[in-house]
Amino acid sequence: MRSVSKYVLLIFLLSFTSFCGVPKAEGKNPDIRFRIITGVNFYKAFSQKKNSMIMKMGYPVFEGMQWQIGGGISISGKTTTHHLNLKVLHIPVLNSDDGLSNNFLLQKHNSNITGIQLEYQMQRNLYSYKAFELDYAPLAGLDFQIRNITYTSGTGEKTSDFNLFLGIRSLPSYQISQRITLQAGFDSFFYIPYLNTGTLQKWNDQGEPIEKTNYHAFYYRTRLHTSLKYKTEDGKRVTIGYRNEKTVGFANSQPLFYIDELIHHRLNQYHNIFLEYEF
Amino acid sequence: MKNSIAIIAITSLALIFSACTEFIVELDADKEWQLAADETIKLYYKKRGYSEAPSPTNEEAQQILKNQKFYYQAIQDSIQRTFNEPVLLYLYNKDQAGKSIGTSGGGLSQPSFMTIYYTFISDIEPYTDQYGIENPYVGAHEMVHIITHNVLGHPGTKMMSEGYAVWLDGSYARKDINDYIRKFKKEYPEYVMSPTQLLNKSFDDEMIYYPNAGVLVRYWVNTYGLEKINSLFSVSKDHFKDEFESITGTSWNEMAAEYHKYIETF
Repeated sequence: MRSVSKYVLLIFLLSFTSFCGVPKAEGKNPDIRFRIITGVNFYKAFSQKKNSMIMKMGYPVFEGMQWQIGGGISISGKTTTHHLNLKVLHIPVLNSDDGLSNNFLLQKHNSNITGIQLEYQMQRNLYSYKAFELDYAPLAGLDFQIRNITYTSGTGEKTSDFNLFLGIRSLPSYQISQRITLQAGFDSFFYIPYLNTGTLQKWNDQGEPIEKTNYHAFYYRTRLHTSLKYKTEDGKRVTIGYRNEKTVGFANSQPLFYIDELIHHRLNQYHNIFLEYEF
Repeated sequence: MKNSIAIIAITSLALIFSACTEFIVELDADKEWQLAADETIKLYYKKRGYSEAPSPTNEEAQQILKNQKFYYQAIQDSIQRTFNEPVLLYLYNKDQAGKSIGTSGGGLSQPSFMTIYYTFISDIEPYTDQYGIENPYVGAHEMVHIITHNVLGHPGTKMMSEGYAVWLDGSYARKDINDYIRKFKKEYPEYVMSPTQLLNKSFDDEMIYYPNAGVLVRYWVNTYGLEKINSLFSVSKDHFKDEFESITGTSWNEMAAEYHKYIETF
């Protein structure tokens, strides 16, 4: 719990230090905006068929539809916009597919995933030409996820991940008209094993605990995104968009950048459709 | 000029990073399977003529299914634990297996997905395993991993994970593990591994490590009893010696000396 508090504090410190510095550094009152986000993810977690490089992921797969709600705040100064976002994600029903559309593995109504992501971004402009702008944003965040798996006969597995990630966003955009902006880009996120912790717990089909093992994950997450932003007359903004997200990586008992004693892995894909309202 | 260089650099990096997951992991979502199934084993195999290497006939598929079902129960009986989850077995033709699962001479398991990936080799060497099954296309090894990882916990050491699998399969690469130890003693005595060498993974070569681990675990089970050894399955390497001494009441050095004497009897 102490390590969890440490990471939460770090992100808040990072964001608040930057937020508080905005007006002073840029000599004017910052523009503050709030946003609410909702969306749906189509989640797939693949099995690892080959664990030597290049690894292969394939069937069977755990899959489900994930609901996402969130909110955030943006503070814009003269050159920099600071974003702080909080997202809650939940998959209430997790199914499995063997490649032939059979679920032989999971009690789907007793298998679920819940996650919380807190993310801070510092967005700056790199280049602009007429209606085209290229922004970039270094970022840091926390990713907390609990996955509960109940197999067909009642054997259980629970993984709890608490990860700190660092990354960068690219945000090219093109203003189609005075009100509509098209945005697309690529983000990458690095989960460093020395900053991450997780726990694997297993139960037998009688519900008796078998083990509890700690691990450290090394994940790499990529996100391709595209969106359309509409600016209303009174300055509010509505964005609709699509993101394709992939997470690959593994977790060992020790913090390592290679597979030693593989305890857990993530070979995940998301297709995300989201709607954002900014005011 | 500065900005142009920055844009080119950022764009190039974005392109490289966007393909980066493909440098690490590729998706191989193969859906062309035939399914032979009973309550516990689901066998996925390729239809005849799928590739240049032979696919199993329906009779061979049924035989594999029957054998796996037998191992499924025999393993539970041997470790005195119950396990009722279905196990999925994906069988690749020999000419596809190397690319898809990283080996064309065996397989691997994913206990979290209750899944085994394995190579189908039609012209296997004749071999009868310790359960009396003649020429099994797929042995018990990977099934042991699936069951032990789910009923005994995540293995804390390679020694216990592979030791159980080789002990309960009785063979490595379709040869009796006792024959390996005899051959090592006679021709390569440095390949006979002590318990400490096994714990520390002193040899990476599977051909040396696996038979040694199997013989050690079998010796421990026969000497100290199954329950005590089962309880050591998930103990980490750093705590293993202390836990071993506490659970068996025997010092590690004393056990190693006795094991050395046992190996001499081969």
